[in-house]
Amino acid sequence: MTNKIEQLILATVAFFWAFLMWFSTAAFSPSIGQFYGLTTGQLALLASSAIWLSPPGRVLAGWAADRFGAHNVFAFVLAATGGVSVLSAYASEVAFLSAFEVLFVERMVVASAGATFVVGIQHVAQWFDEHEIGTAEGLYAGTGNVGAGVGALLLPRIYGTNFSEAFLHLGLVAIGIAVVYKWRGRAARDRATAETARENTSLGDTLYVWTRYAAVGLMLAYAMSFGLEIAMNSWLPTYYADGFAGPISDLGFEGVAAVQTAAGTFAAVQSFNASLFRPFSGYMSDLWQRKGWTPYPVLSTSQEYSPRVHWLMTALICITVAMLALTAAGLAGLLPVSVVVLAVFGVTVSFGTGGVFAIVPVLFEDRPGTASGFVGGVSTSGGIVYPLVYGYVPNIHAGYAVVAVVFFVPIMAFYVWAMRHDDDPRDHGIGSARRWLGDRDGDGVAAAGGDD
Amino acid sequence: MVDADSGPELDADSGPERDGDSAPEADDWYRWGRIVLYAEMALAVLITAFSLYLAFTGRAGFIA
Repeated sequence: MTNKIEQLILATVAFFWAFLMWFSTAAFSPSIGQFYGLTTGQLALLASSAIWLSPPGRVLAGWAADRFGAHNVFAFVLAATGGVSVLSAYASEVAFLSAFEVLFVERMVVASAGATFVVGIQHVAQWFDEHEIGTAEGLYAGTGNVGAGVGALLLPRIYGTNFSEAFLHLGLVAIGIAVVYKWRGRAARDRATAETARENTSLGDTLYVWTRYAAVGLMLAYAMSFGLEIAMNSWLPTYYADGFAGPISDLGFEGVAAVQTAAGTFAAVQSFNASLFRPFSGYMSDLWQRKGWTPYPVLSTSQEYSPRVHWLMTALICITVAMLALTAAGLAGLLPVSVVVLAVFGVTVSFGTGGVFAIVPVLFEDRPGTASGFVGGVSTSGGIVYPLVYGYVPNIHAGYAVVAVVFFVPIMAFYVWAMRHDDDPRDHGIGSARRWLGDRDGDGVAAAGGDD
Repeated sequence: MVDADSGPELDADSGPERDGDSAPEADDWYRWGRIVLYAEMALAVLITAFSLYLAFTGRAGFIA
């Protein structure tokens, strides 16, 4: 006998640990670099190992969750990545495993634990009702995301430079969680719900989801929020160290190490707020849904989930304004204002991440894993694109405004365009539902729709 | 902005739930879920304030 609370706790604990493993390599970068005598370029390559497998991994994991059940997929991924983490613990002691290249591949596999995000989203969606889905998904994702920050903060303090022991313990606990997940996890609240998801996993079903303009709009909205969050995690320490070198020095931080420490502390504010406010965003989505708030005339107000779409629009506007404010504070050279804006910025990012996944399972209720994989996977590429733009713009402070104008305004315009339909937005996409699904309906949509 | 009191009355067939009285009943877990999310928000505010205090008093090294 189980219940949805147990399933939520299972998913949240497992995702927290998966996130801890995802970023555990970064926490020991200096130690690993010293042990292997790595160059700066090799260290950058090692850092990138965390992101490489995310986009394809999430797409695949989401589909697999629908097909095989989230509890099976989560248990398999945790056991596999945990096993490789244990293996990587002996990288420094066994002959052929001692090469840096072997460690790099091992840690890349371990980092694929981050793909479990969409598996948990699917799992929670299969258990919770529509009116409470925002809060449930927010609690799952927000609490789990904290694993990254906790890892960065605690792992070096607990293990010092002994990264091998850390990787060993992380892997063993992951295997333990996998066993519990397999034992206690159930795919859905009833057999019919699980069977519906399992039956909708053909290539046609996948292409149907990928070609819906609404799904693309949500994917872009997630690139504008979570993609931005991980981009800022890697960029902000550099930004504060370079863009505010003078004011930071005036605070009494002298030397490269001290300036990096201060810059990292400012940057962490964004990370924690973006994670910890995410459940609140899900709750707000539920609240808007309950109250029926639909303030934007350019968006449809007639869908059952329209208030959630309007809440996400609010979040996207807030993110864009916060980006412009970051640039303004930077150009004015006001460090305290910039950091306060950054804290607010983190909250607005959480509004976006929580808002997106309060909609995805509702919009694609019969294909939650496939849709979550598409929305949550492709969007992580934002983590690579935005820092490139920041670094390319001549004035280091102007990068945020450039990204807001060049990327975010068009994304919001597309989101409005995709969600404006008073008939079901799932009817609109490249090819009709009938083309991709045959005579079956898509998530309750009449099969005749489409923008061929 | 339309709220529950002044907004148009729409039924489930024509639009989202607008009437607070007809909204689905939340389970017991929802109350605890809200407590957890408020606790997480409070934690975020505390971490932000603490980090900024340490940074702006030149003591960021204490936690970094």
